[in-house]
Amino acid sequence: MEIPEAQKEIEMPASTPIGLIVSICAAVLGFGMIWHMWWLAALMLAAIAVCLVVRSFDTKIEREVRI
Amino acid sequence: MTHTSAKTTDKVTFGFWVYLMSDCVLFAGLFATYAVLRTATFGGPGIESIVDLPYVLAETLLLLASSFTVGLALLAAHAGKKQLTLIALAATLVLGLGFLSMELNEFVKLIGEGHGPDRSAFLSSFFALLGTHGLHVALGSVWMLALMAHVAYRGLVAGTTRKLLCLGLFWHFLDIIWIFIFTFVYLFGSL
Repeated sequence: MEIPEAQKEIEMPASTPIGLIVSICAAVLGFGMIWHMWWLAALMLAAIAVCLVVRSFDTKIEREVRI
Repeated sequence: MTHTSAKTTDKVTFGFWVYLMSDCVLFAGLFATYAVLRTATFGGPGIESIVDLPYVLAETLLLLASSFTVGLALLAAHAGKKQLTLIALAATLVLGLGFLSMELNEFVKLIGEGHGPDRSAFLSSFFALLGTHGLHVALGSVWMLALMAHVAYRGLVAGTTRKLLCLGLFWHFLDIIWIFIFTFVYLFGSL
C-alpha cells in the first residue's frame, strides 16, 4: 500500500526522564500529605516545580518516527 | 526545522487555548457558587460591608497596567529586542506582585477581623473565588520568572517566543477574570 507523503514522518514526544521523576515526587508528596509530614510535602511540591522548570529548558522535545 | 516549529507553535497555541477555556469553566463554577451564596452571610458581614472600592480600584489598575506591560513584552519579543522584553517582563512581574500583596493584605485584614472563610458560606465562596484567581496570578509570576531566565540565557529563539505567547494569553485571561470579579463581586456588592 502506498504511504501518503504526510504520514511518512510522524512527530513523537522525545524521551525524557522528567515524567518518571515527577511521578515519584508526587507519590512521596501523597505520602507526606497523608501522614501530615508537611516539610516533606512542601519539599516534594518544590521538587516537582523545579522539574517543570528544568524540563522547560529542553530544546529537543520532539523526535520523528519514519515509516 | 522551521516548518516543524511553525506546526508546533500552532499545536501548542491550540492546546493552550483549550487549557484556558477549561480554566474558564472552573471560574464559571466559582462565580456561580458565589452568586448562589452571596446572601448566605449567617449573621456575619455581607459583601457591602467589606468592599473598599478605592482599594480595589488600585488593585485593578495594577493588574490592568501589568496586562499592558505584558503586551509590550510580546511586542518587544516579536521585534527581537531582548533587553526591552526583559524590562517589560520585569515591570509586569513587579505590577503583578503589587497586586498580589494588596490582595493578600486584604485577606489578612479580613481574617484578622474574624471574617475568614470559615465565618459564613458567603465568605467561603468569596475567598474561594478570589483565592483561586490570586493563586493563578502567583503561579503566573513564577512562570514569568522562569521565562525571564529563558530569555536571558537563550535569547528570543522560537521556543521561547512561543512560551512568551502562552504566558501573554494566560496573563490577559487572568485580567479578564479579574474584570468579572471587579464587576460582579465588588461593584455589584457596593450597590
